Amino acid sequence: MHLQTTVSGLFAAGDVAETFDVAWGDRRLHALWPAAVEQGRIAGCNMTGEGIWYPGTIACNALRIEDLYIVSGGISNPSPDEGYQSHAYHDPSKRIYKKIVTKDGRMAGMVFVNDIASAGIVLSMIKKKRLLSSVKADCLSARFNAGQVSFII
Amino acid sequence: MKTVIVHPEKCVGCKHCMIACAIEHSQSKNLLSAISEDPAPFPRVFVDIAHDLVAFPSRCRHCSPAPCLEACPSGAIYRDEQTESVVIDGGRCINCAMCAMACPFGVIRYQRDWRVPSQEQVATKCDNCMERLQKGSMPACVEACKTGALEYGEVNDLIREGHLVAIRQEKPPKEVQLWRALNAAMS
Repeated sequence: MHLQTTVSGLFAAGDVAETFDVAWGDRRLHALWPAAVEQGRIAGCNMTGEGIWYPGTIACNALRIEDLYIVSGGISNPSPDEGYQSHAYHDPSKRIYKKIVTKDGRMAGMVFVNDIASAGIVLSMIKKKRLLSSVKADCLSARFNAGQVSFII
Repeated sequence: MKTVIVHPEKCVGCKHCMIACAIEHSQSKNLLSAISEDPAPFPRVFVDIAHDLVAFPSRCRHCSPAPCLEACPSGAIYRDEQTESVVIDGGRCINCAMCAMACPFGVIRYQRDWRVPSQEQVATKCDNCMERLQKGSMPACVEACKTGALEYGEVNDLIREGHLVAIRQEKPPKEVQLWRALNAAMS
């Protein structure tokens, strides 16, 4: 997928472009600023003949309300009986909630509330479709860090 | 382009880099007076335990293209032309948490910084010690690292040296091996 439309030489990026969703595995609209910037850069490069492959993205967003930070991405609330498994960690005293959704041993979605330091690492694992067995640590732990994700080292 | 390269296999987890970083970004740049400052100084480099009790110093890679820079809707994150570092302008940060979502290394934190007049929480991360680089010295974490786990230099030279080390099949220094053996014995 090079962000070229069905019309040869015509490229699309941003809110008007339906692109591949890595988590869902189909084409979806990602009306998000980070996705638009990335698509714009790649579409611009491809217009000049670079031929950069766009692997697709996932629906993800971040929100802050006063001292409450929320990051969610991928399939965070799957419908039951589709083979998805949810793993959650909840600490009411620190107002921390973390949930990851897996399917077939791969990360499919996540919701992190308040402790969002490792949210980017988990989201990049969803985007890259990494096997959970390649991670030798608990993704929901507060001490989860980039060093534990073997593909980064 | 000059940058800092991390060799996790040489890190013993002493956290000297974290203290040096917090002091460098404090108001007084002195350990004794920095601990009583408000807001309290905090590090931008993080030493965590990775797998098999090996410490891993995690630090902003100043990626190109940088996902945090692309994700920032207020334009607070920019690339410094002289040092090619990705830097956050705290005054323009709206604290929307988009950069923490985008960073694949999890090195962006939300803290109160004395440089920001509003004293609100803003996104903070490693700025490659730009003030020190402009004076011609190296980043504080590299200067503090005693084992050579953090190395500053021309990126191509450091990568070439890394390949040579791999070809020579060098082992970590004896002190590091002893420290690892002690750690393993205690766990």
